[in-house]
Amino acid sequence: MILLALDGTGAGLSRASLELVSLGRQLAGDSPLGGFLIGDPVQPLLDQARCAVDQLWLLRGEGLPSTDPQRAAQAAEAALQAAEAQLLLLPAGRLGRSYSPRLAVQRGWALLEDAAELQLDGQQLSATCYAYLGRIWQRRSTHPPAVVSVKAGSVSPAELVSVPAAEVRVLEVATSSPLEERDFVGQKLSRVPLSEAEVVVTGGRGLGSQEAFAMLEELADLLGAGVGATRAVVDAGWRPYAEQVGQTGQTVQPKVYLAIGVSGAVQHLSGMNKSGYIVAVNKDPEAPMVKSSDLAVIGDLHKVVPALIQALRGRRD
Amino acid sequence: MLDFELSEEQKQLQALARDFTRKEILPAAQRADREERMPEGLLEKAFATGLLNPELPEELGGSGLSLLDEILIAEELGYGCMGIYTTLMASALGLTPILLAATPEQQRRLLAPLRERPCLLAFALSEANNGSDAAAMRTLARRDGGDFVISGSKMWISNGGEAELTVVFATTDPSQGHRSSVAIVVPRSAPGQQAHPIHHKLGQRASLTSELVFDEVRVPAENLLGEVGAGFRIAMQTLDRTRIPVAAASVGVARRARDEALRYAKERQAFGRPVADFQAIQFKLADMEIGIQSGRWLAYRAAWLADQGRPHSAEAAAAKAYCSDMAFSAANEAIQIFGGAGYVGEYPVEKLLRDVKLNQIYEGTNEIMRVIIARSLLRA
Amino acid sequence: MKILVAVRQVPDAESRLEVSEGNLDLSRASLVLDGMDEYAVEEALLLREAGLEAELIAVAVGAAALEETLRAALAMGLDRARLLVGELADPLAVARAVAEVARDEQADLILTGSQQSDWDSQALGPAIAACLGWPQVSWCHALQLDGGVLRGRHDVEGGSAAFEVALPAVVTTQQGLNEPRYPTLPNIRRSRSKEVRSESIPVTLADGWQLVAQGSAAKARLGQRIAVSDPQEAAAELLSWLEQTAKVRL
Ligand SMILES: Cc1cc2nc3c(=O)[nH]c(=O)nc-3n(C[C@H](O)[C@H](O)[C@H](O)COP(=O)(O)OP(=O)(O)OC[C@H]3O[C@@H](n4cnc5c(N)ncnc54)[C@H](O)[C@@H]3O)c2cc1C
Ligand SMILES: Cc1cc2nc3c(=O)[nH]c(=O)nc-3n(C[C@H](O)[C@H](O)[C@H](O)COP(=O)(O)OP(=O)(O)OC[C@H]3O[C@@H](n4cnc5c(N)ncnc54)[C@H](O)[C@@H]3O)c2cc1C
Repeated sequence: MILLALDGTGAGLSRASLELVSLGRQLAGDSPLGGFLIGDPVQPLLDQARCAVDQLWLLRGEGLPSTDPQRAAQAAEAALQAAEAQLLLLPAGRLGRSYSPRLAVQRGWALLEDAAELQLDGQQLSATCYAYLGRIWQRRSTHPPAVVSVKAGSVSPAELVSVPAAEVRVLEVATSSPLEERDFVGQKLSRVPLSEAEVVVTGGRGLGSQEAFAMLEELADLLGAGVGATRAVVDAGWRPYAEQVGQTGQTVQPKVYLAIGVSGAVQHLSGMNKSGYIVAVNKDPEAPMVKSSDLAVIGDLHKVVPALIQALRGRRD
Repeated sequence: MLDFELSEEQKQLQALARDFTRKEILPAAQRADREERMPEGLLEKAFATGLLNPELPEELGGSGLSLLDEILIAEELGYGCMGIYTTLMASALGLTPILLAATPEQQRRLLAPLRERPCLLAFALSEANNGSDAAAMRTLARRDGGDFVISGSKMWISNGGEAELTVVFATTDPSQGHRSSVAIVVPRSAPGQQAHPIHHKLGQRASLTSELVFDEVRVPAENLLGEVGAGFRIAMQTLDRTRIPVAAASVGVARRARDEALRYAKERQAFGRPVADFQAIQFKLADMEIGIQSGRWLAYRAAWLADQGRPHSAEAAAAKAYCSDMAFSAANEAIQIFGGAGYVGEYPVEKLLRDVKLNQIYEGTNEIMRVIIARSLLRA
Repeated sequence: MKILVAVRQVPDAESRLEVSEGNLDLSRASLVLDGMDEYAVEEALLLREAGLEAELIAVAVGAAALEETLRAALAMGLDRARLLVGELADPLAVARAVAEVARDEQADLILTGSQQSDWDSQALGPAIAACLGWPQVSWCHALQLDGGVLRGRHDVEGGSAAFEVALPAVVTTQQGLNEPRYPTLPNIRRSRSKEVRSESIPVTLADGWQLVAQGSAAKARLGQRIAVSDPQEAAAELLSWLEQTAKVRL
């Protein structure tokens, strides 16, 4: 069986889970698809999950759900045993990528990380993964049983139409961890989550100050875009870490990525170079971002951005 | 047996210098050039990294780099900014006579501060009226009891006024030529010194150049290097060594010119294709490469000879003259490849030309280098 | 007390990577200590500078050329190094080898970068921990060690959290944790005499993945330019480009 690690909010399954569902269906063909949820789901989430898979395990126990990879791995292990699964798909988020290697080692399974274009051909499992800070794509292949963390946005999310059908089994799992976590501080999310935004407007050190981001936010609002930041900007304390795009931040793949006052260091590029179109606004024609762009506006952003805002406002009225 | 491979340690040194250049020098160079001063905090960082005065021997708390080690650093830093590197290089120029001619006691006493904090040194040989003909110097060092009293002025002194220690070359009797020359270490604290910075240089503007005026400056005779009459020889032995880093740093400049030109030529379109497609441009790039490779080996060999304690005066002169001429021509051709864009300050290549021009002049002009080489040919 | 720092050798972030006939050409790239691992090396040094009595050991698994990278870690200040030479298939195999060294050394703490920028993998730290049956702390950005207990903060799904865990443990490092120092010149000199113990290990292809094809991920970009003379005009031009070329509905 193929098993999916599902999650969600009060409103239902997360986008990443819906993507897993459509991928899982593709791979499973006519065979039944399994899934698990960790913790006690609220009704809308449970209903959606029951539409999404054929068999659903609810993993309950003290301390669950947890952001602790040791607990997450123990819970997932229980589900894998119950489902007698040969393939586990999980979202390549922070948690998934930190507990999947534990599972793989414990079970002696193969591991594919941040996989896209996953294919299962009999006993051959292959996927496209990026390497060398996203500069190289690699087709990697292995044999199930395997744990695979799936790259966000690599398949379109499933559309759930059927009635809640999956039979639900509750598993009580006792997890333990030597790690104690507390003082959780959630990321301040911009109104449009970066991973889902069609357009991302990212500001770099070229903006010159925290205050200058006000105009960037206005531009983003007018474009219906998410706001991103470079590490230089996050390090300076101008923007929250949640907005950082790049090797140590988020990987985004919007239709259009606007990089404003961003030099385009490779660590930044690796987080956005798969974007559909890249637009740079930079005063330096030699900046790497300019060289990696589809359209570069060479000039002072303090003139260009206000002009853009004015023009967009003009269209509104 | 020949072996062209650097040791692991030398590769690390090179990587360190390359890293330092990328993180600290390249981003700061344009501004340093514009503002005519060293980037804020750079000397402190160079000191913390061990790149300031790296020739200081291990027994004095330094790294005791060989000349070959040192020129690996010179090439990398020269790549980033010749002006910034000159500040460090001129410090080595001031340190070298002390390492060559001072007694162990003098070295311990004079050089103690170098391990504690970032200190610059300077080398004051040239005067307004005599540069190439150094033996004709007029600055007077008069013996007065246990002291020397120095009067006169020195021109074009790199780090002049900022340096903690300046090795001043003077004469005890101008009518005696180099037989009365002396090399005396003058601490910055000695009263009677004035430094007048020289502004609006063509290039290497990050580096401070000053005129030094000595008005009855009193220093203890314990600061004399060697004996009376040895000053000129000490100066020449010093330059025989320090010209080799000038050569290596020139190779760095040429490498930079090549890299910038290569990048631009691949991108700049003319007649519907990158200008790098034109053979006329390709040959310029190839010539730069020939110069870089040959220049580098000249510098390496001269340094190797010096490290072996073998005669290297003509080799150092050949390396210095060849590399600086070669780098000037590489910078010149890089501007040509950039076309109009090469002629303006927004792009990095015009600065390379302005900077590297000095390498053909200081530490002995390239004419004087040829005098040295020819003299050694004729003597043999 | 022993701290093990697992390091990788990767092409310098600036080097251009080219693939020809399916092979990645690294001959022109300069290979350096992975930036993420530099934070791990630095943290080991900082723990000791904060008063901990510890031996700091660098470990690397892979090609013999890794010695250079280990020397870089020694030049930053680690005490000695272990090099396991063998062509290993994937991060899990590397983790198993590192875990062997940890057992052999009886290490108490293992530090390594949160992501390895060769395979773009985040598995090394977690997998080492799993091999040893130790807890892992991933994406750490603040760390202290008091009487055998690690405390600090790290990034977790959806935010960040404070943590506390007793040794032994594996901690993966990232930006914000510290500012890695230069390997200073005197340290480079000193590291010459430090030990790098090299041994070869058998190749294990058992359960790893294999590379079947690869290529450059660089997308061809249009490379169009607008030089701004009049900002209003440039803005209008940009917006119509967004509509017409990128098909954004404005
Ligand atoms: C291990 C590691 C991980 C990293 N991870 C990340 C990461 O995840 N994300 C990330 O972003 N970085 C990351 N970095 C840092 C990265 O190397 C760069 O330092 C950073 O991306 C630079 O940010 P920036 O482009 O905002 O600033 P800068 O490099 O300073 O660029 C500013 C740009 O603004 C332009 N500019 C300035 N003024 C104007 C103006 N008035 N008008 C128009 N343009 C102007 C300049 O020409 C320049 O191109 C990482 C580094 C390391 C070592
Ligand atoms: C920015 C800068 C920094 C400097 N830093 C220092 C420093 O730190 N310490 C220091 O002591 N000096 C320093 N100098 C001085 C430098 O070394 C001299 O300028 C140089 O040696 C040439 O001397 P000159 O200027 O007096 O030229 P001159 O000797 O007047 O020469 C004029 C021209 O005649 C040529 N010429 C002279 N004699 C002969 C000959 N015999 N055969 C053929 N041609 C000949 C020269 O090559 C030159 O082309 C610096 C100079 C500059 C510009």
